[in-house]
Amino acid sequence: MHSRRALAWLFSLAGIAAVTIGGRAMRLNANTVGFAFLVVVLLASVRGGLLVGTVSSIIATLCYNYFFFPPLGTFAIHDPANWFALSAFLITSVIVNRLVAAAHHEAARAESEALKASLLRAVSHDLTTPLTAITIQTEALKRKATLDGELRDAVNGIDEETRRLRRRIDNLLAMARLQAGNAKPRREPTPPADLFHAVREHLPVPLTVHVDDDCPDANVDPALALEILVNLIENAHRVSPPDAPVLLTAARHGKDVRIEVLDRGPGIPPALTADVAQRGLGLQIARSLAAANGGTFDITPRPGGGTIARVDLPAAPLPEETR
Amino acid sequence: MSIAPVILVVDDDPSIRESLSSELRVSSYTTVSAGNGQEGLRAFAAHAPDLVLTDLAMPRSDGFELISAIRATSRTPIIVLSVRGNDPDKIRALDLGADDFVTKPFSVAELLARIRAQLRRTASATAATLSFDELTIDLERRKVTQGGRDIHLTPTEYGLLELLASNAGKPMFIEHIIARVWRNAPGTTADTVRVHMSSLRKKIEPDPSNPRYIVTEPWVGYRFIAEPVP
Repeated sequence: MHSRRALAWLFSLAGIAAVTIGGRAMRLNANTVGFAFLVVVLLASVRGGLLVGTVSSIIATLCYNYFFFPPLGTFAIHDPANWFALSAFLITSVIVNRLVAAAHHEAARAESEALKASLLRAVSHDLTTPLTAITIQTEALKRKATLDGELRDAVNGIDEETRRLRRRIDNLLAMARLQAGNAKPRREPTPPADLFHAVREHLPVPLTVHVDDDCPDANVDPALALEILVNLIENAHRVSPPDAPVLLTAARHGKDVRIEVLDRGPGIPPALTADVAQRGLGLQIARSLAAANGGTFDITPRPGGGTIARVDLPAAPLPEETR
Repeated sequence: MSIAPVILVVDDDPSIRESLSSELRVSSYTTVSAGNGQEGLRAFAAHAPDLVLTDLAMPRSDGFELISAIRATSRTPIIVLSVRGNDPDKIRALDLGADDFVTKPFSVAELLARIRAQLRRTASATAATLSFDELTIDLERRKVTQGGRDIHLTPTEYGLLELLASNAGKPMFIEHIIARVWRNAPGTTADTVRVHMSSLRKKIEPDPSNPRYIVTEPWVGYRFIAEPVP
């Protein structure tokens, strides 16, 4: 990087000197020399970046003035037309410089985003492939009727931990994807009942579900919304007593759709409700993903014991409801 | 079906290919397998499978090429094994003619339900009546009953239900729905479809909080659930 920049300096100074000497020797007219200087500045900027380009523009402007605008051999300029030519030269070279720098920056950013995206894809594929094989083989083991009690417990343990691992990976990938910026949330009208349906396909835990009749569709990225709910329900399920399944509801709330995950677990000490971060990765992710969907997330004690995790998401009413 | 249906499994990972094939054989399917799109196409020509399961990302010749090549000559159901979060790939595969997808890592039970749905759809292509759980659609008399009760649908609602139910298990693109049910009438938008779909769903779903028959398919359109995932 250093040698590349040093080369650019060398190139720029040599180029300006060559144009000056050549221009004088061949008695070229000032316009031709101006364009030649511009080419040198442009190349210097492409090779060396904004600083090299800017300094090159200034040196070229000075040489241009000193050697090619009468009175020659001074920095004075008598003809107002030459003032104009020189200013136009300086402005053009500075603008060219900035454009080149911006293009460089954009190219570097695109390159790093593309790299992140392909890394994510590779990680996702490399983690998912063995996990898929493990899932299939674990199910094959579970099906074998000959498994005795101890072995069966072990296989069930593998099964459960595999699911957990899968969800952690899903979480991390969802977060990484958002942060990489290459996957902006793709929102579309999504009926909450369909989100709940997808949750049940992903997370086989007992759930009681209720969607109000007048609940509008939510305008969300369905995959991210699913991620939020799976996290919240997984958390809620873990603390729920066996006789009180997690309750999942959706209702109209002003201009939002309010989705709540209610459990009868031990609840959260009041000091912790303010700081969701202390409740683990799942809740942090829920909060970030809710924000990415234009929504909010908070958590409050449930009357009668337990916790309510609440996500408010923007509504997408049907056209006839908006009138 | 007296003869076991043949399923072609195409995946570049040998452990997935083998464990999947072995689980499918346990469920009385006959399997053939291939490690990339080209091998897959050769196996497709040689064995004329009843259904194809294919991964998308494979070295050399990928799943997209395989789907296009199969669709050029055949309507055999294709289920894609996609990776979580890679929705653009999934949608592209559906667009090329894949019939359904499962997301890795999937459960075998889920995959088997999807396979049954596709095989059933191809077997009942000429049926006069479609039935799913409590819902019956008499295609000749355009009559719909749910739990023994007659359901009165508008012509548009019936058109939607017939299109989706006769493609049960297959995600249907909004554009396709507009083309088939509205015959591309000017001014028909995704919102038009949403309004009619919403009223159809209210009429046929026994419990609207728990959809049994129709759900939205993210970024695609709608799907009729042939068989609930166990």
